[in-house]
Amino acid sequence: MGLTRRDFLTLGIGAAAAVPLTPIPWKLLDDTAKWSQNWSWIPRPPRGERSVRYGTCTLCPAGCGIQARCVGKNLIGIAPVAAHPVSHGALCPYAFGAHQLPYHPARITQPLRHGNPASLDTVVAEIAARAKAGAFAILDERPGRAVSAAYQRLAAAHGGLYLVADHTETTTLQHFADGSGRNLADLGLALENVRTLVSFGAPVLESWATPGRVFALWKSGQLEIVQVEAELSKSAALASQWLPARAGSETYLASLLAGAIGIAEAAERTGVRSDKLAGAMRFIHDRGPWLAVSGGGFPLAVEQSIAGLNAGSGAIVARAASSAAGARLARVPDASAGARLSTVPDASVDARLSHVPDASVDVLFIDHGLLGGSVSFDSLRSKVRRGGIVVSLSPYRAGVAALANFVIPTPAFAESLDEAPTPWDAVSPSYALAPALLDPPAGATTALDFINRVTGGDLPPEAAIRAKVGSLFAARRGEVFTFADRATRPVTEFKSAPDLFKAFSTGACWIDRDAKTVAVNYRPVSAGPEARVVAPTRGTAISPPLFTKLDQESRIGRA
Amino acid sequence: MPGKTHKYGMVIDVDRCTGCGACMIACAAENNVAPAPPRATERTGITPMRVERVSNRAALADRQERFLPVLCMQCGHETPCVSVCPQQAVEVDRESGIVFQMPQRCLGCRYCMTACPYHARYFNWWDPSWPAGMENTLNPGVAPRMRGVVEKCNFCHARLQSAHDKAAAAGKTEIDSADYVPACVEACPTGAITFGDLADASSEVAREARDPRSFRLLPKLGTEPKVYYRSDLAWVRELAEHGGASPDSEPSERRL
Repeated sequence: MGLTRRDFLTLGIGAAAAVPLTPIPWKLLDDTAKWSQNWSWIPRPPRGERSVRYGTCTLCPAGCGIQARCVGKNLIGIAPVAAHPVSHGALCPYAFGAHQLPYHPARITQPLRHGNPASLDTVVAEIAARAKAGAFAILDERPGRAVSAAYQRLAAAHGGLYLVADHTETTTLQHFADGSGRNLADLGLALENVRTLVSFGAPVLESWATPGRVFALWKSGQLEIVQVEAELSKSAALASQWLPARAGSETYLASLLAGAIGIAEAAERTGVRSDKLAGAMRFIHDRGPWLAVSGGGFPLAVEQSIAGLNAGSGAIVARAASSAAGARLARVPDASAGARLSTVPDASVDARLSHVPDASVDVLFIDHGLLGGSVSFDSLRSKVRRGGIVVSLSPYRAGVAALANFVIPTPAFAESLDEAPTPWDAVSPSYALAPALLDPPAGATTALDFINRVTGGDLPPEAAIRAKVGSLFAARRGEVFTFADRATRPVTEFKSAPDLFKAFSTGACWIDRDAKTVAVNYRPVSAGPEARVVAPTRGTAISPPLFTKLDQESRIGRA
Repeated sequence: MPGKTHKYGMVIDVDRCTGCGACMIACAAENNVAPAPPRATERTGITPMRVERVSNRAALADRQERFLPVLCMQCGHETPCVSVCPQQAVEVDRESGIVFQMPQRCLGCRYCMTACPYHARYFNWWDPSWPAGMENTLNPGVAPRMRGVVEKCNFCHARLQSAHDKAAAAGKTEIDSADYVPACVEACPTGAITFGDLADASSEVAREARDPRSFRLLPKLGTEPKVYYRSDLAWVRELAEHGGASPDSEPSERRL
């Protein structure tokens, strides 16, 4: 039987009519769509096994718990840890973009000498020679770590200085430390015991202090904010009371709160309406205990009057007795080191950058931390003698590192074992580890390893951290919250120090809620070289690339 | 056999939003939205979740401000973007109530952007580009969109898909609500965003949506958004009611 023209047409028409009933056109459409979305220049996400790892954010001193979402060896996202005892399940925008920081365009992987690439050996030899010949200082932008204690030991052993930066966040505490003769690191804010936070320009609702702690108290209504600030900042916008005092007139509001002047005079001096002032005063006093904090940058007398408002309030406390010993342990890697450290005068243990005479240092090492630091180059350069050098230890060529004589590349976020000691505002001592979740690039060296090489030190960072964990285990105080199962158990339930270290390495936080505190009395220090005005140090050298969403693609700006 | 019908939505407590932008960063990271190229501006950038600063426009001494996170409202009735799309690139998913944008079908005409009364849609003016090596941080659950297509918030649909996969692997037909939390909800440090199934009258989100202080943006349009807001401040509710457009309003206020 032959194929007729009619058969051919019937088959063709039938096939055409049936095609839409087959997967062919839809497959074609689907493939075309996929093809049009997969140009070779469109980046492709990584493939691999998905997992979740736990750690601690060490971008700032708050030490918030994080869960890192991984695909293979890559971090693809950061999320908070609910019920974390320090961060209360909160994270700031920096943390949500932190996994992209290792790939920041400003990242460096080779030492720089006057802006030009140099070998690590050359740089070490040159800096070591200069450090031996003159006075050196180590500026630690993240004090309180076991690594910080190693810096202190190195500085003490080699005649150097260990310095901590003056941060505007801690201005009020710094004045209390100066006035009480206590270490800044031992002081904290008893926010849970106050009902109102009177903020003189402090960004209290903008990732200030331990943000999760502040937010938890604020959103529950336990803590209300009274913001004294000329500008309508984010904190001022959300405060229960905003007092838009003229810039430079804040001291009159401090005087009003202290009862030194009346509402009429304060209104005249500050430009704030008297009814508003009267309402704010009623609000503060009716609610009960309150705490005044400064955002920094005011003249010394103003700072002192703000700090003085807290005298006798009990809102600023020191971790005392056993807890102070715990805090001290945070700086002492082992028992024998404690004896050596005790020979160091207190002034050098917590010496602050602002206390150092100008032109007194030949080699200034700066451990900037993971965001390139926040100290201004001018405040550093003035401390260095003519011909002296600034050695910046940073993952990025930005901020001070962009201007320093030498830049040593250090691991970025999640690239090395790191620590989260007690946040500056905390009352209960805490400690957590941030395990390395990524491999650091070849050429990156930790700040302590580098300073060890230059000064001849011999305590590697991990040994210092293990010793710290060992001291926590030996003290047998406090409890450990493990992130994966959200369980809390006492330190005494851990079998050994390595067992505790293992828990820390997989996501855990130690906290001593029973640590005793004592109220600190305030005594203003007379003006002099020991009491300088702290220059504002807000912001960081770099931020996650996705911050364009805040700065460039919207008008919200960053906190 | 179709599963249970949901109506996913959220309630945003405006009085608790601190304007930190964590939701914006978490959203961009989750959905593979690239950092802006240098030429991008507020008008041409891509922020599926965008926090706007709004004020009562009083004199400085009495001025009050709040932060209003604006995202796709997931309109439930007469969805404007769906009706204008010539490509059927926008669909309302019957099972979840989520308004889906399918970039594969989008031809980039931007009618939907014009039609959207909430300005919650964004056009990809440039191919997505990340600094070298940063492609290793992309979420494999979400395909990066190419230049020339529109995108918007889809309530982190990839997370819903993962939750379905997890439920299926466990032999369940319904997801555990704890497994489906959009990135912005997870990120909010003050817990200002409540997310869930509005169709479930007993859910927290449904209860909050019924709160007398809750409101929706531009309700007069009748689009039945599934994103609710909540505030104690009358001027915030009024702003939402009327859109806040006036000749002397700030650009950020005019966006409503």
